[in-house]
Amino acid sequence: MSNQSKIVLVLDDDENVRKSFIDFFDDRSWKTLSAVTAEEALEVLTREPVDGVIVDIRLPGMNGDEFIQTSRLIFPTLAYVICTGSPEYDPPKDITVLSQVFNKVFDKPCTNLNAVEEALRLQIEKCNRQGK
Amino acid sequence: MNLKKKIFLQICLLMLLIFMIAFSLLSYYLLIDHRGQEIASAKSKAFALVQTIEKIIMWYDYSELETSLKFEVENFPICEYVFIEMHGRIISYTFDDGVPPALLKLHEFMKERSEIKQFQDQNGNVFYDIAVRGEKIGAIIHYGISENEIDNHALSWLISLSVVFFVIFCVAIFLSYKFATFITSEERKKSIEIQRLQNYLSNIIDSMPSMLVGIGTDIKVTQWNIKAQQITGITPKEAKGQPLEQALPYMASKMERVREAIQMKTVCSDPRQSRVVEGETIYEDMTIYPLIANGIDGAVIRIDDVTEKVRIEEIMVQSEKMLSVGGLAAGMAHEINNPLAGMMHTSFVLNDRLTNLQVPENIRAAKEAGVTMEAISTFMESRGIIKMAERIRESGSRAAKILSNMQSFVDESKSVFSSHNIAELLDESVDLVASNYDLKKKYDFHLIKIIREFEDNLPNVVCEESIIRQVFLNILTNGTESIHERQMSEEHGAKGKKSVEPCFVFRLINEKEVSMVRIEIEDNGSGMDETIRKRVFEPFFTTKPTDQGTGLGLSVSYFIIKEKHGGEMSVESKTGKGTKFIIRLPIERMKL
Repeated sequence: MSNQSKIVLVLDDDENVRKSFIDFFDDRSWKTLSAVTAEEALEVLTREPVDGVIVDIRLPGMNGDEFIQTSRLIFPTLAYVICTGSPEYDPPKDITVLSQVFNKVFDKPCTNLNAVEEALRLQIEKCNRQGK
Repeated sequence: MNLKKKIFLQICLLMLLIFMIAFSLLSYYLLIDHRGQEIASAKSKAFALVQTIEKIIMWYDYSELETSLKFEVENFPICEYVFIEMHGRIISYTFDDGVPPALLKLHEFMKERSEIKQFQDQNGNVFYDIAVRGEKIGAIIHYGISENEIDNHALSWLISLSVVFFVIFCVAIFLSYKFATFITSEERKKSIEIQRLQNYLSNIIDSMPSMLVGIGTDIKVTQWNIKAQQITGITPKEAKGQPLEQALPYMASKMERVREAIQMKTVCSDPRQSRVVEGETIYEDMTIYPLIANGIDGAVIRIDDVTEKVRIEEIMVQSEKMLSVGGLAAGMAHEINNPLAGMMHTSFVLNDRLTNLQVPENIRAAKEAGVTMEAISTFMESRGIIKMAERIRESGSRAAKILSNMQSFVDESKSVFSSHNIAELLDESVDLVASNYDLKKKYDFHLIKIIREFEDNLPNVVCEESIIRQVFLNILTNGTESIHERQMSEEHGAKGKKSVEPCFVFRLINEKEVSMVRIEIEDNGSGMDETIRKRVFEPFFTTKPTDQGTGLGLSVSYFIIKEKHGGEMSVESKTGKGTKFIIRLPIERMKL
């Protein structure tokens, strides 16, 4: 598959959600990494090469949007897809318009995870094109 | 008018009577008794004349004699002639051709100083001859008066008197007419005023939106207004005089309260009395007002149908509850969405692992277990496990939908209002419904014809586009389902019958005078009855099976229009004909 070597980092503080994403991406032949907090995710990013991140917004400690703002400066080709369970906790508008972030925010729970995968794949391709 | 004529006629008759008595008395006096009177006055004139004549004769001024006699005749209409006889000789007279001989013999032997004798001339005219003897000169003066003249004189008097009487009578009649007019117009004014007051009072009572029933101390109906007639179907005429419990049977249990109110002279109110009419509970506020004015005893019972108000209050209470629930839901959303996501995502992966032949890991694991993916698939299919996993996801998404719906009740101030073209919003909502329905494959939305009746030059409306779209979406979804329902039932029913073409009618009307835009969305679906119609905006009220509707869609819509936009939302419907939602949105944003 074309995604053979792509690496996804799942950032979500809910264990079952995190695991479901990991399982899903595993099955689709992604390499998967996970992080419970934004701080941990930043640490993982410095250690491992990552293509895209599934970001939850409401997190203990640093928030998802802060995480994106911080990490995108260090990793300018990193792709982000936001998947949040707090509709009232809208991410700031300036996050979704960033070229590295997929323009649609997915609500948790997602009825169709394929759509999330598709979005991540598209965003990674876009970021790679921009990086070149 | 009648009264006036009567009074006038009576006065006229009375006056006529008085005048007739007066007139007849006067005529009697003038026509019967006047001769004696005239003769008496003529006699005194004759005496006076004698004195004058005596003086003239004593002064031997005979020339004066004739002039003074003529003067007498000319100046007294009844005096016909005068002549003087002295020692059997006529010395002066006023006759043209001598003294008739009959006159000379009349007083041949006068014993008295004066004498009155009657005589007739050759024409049959009657005269009275008054003869008076002048003692000093020994002459006799004859003073002749004509009976005809006396009568003529009296008659002329009578005529002139009659004229005077007639004039007085006319004036009197005129005055009495005026008097009658005055009296009766006062009466009339009074009665008109009374009539006006009565009308005014009954108008006031009839124009009251409440049912008003007046009762006396005997608890019998004395007043019954239009509203009471409308509600009970009993006319005021029928109701008046009836005992209260007969006119209003459901008041029978309240008789004690009524008596108490009248006796104690205190206002009694019993709010929110419920009773069942034709299977529907209606609520009424009942108040008994005792009449406290002097001289009038009894009470007025006022009954207001507050069913609609009670319902609205219930909705408001629900809305308020919803507001707090909404706040709670927003806080909980994250906490609940995450476990839901855990469940649903896992179920998705579960499905994937059991059926997806493209996943290499699946094939590998199956091989290790000594089975093929196809065998596993077949097993899962036949045991319905795939469907089960799907059901888990379905239930999960319903829970998520309820959560997000509940959050719509949050009265957020961060909402963004901007100017929008309602026609465009409607069309966008139509597209949304269309794609939604295609997705569910339940019913093809494109089969529904959409008629747009938009007024020209519609102003833009300041609103929050996303939630207004949600309102339209809710209404359109409901409408589509209703149309679908009707089509289904008609298919099942009479087959030969041509069913109506399913359609929506959108109307946009500019209500300039109130600065509002009226949006009507009408479907020709199955419609609903009055009981349901009254409750459609109630939270959690739904006619759909629990797995299809949350019962929040329309109440959220109501909340959005009413509370967030300061607009109005109502619904009209007829079973089997269709439903019309009416939304009125203020063009400018209202200060809420």
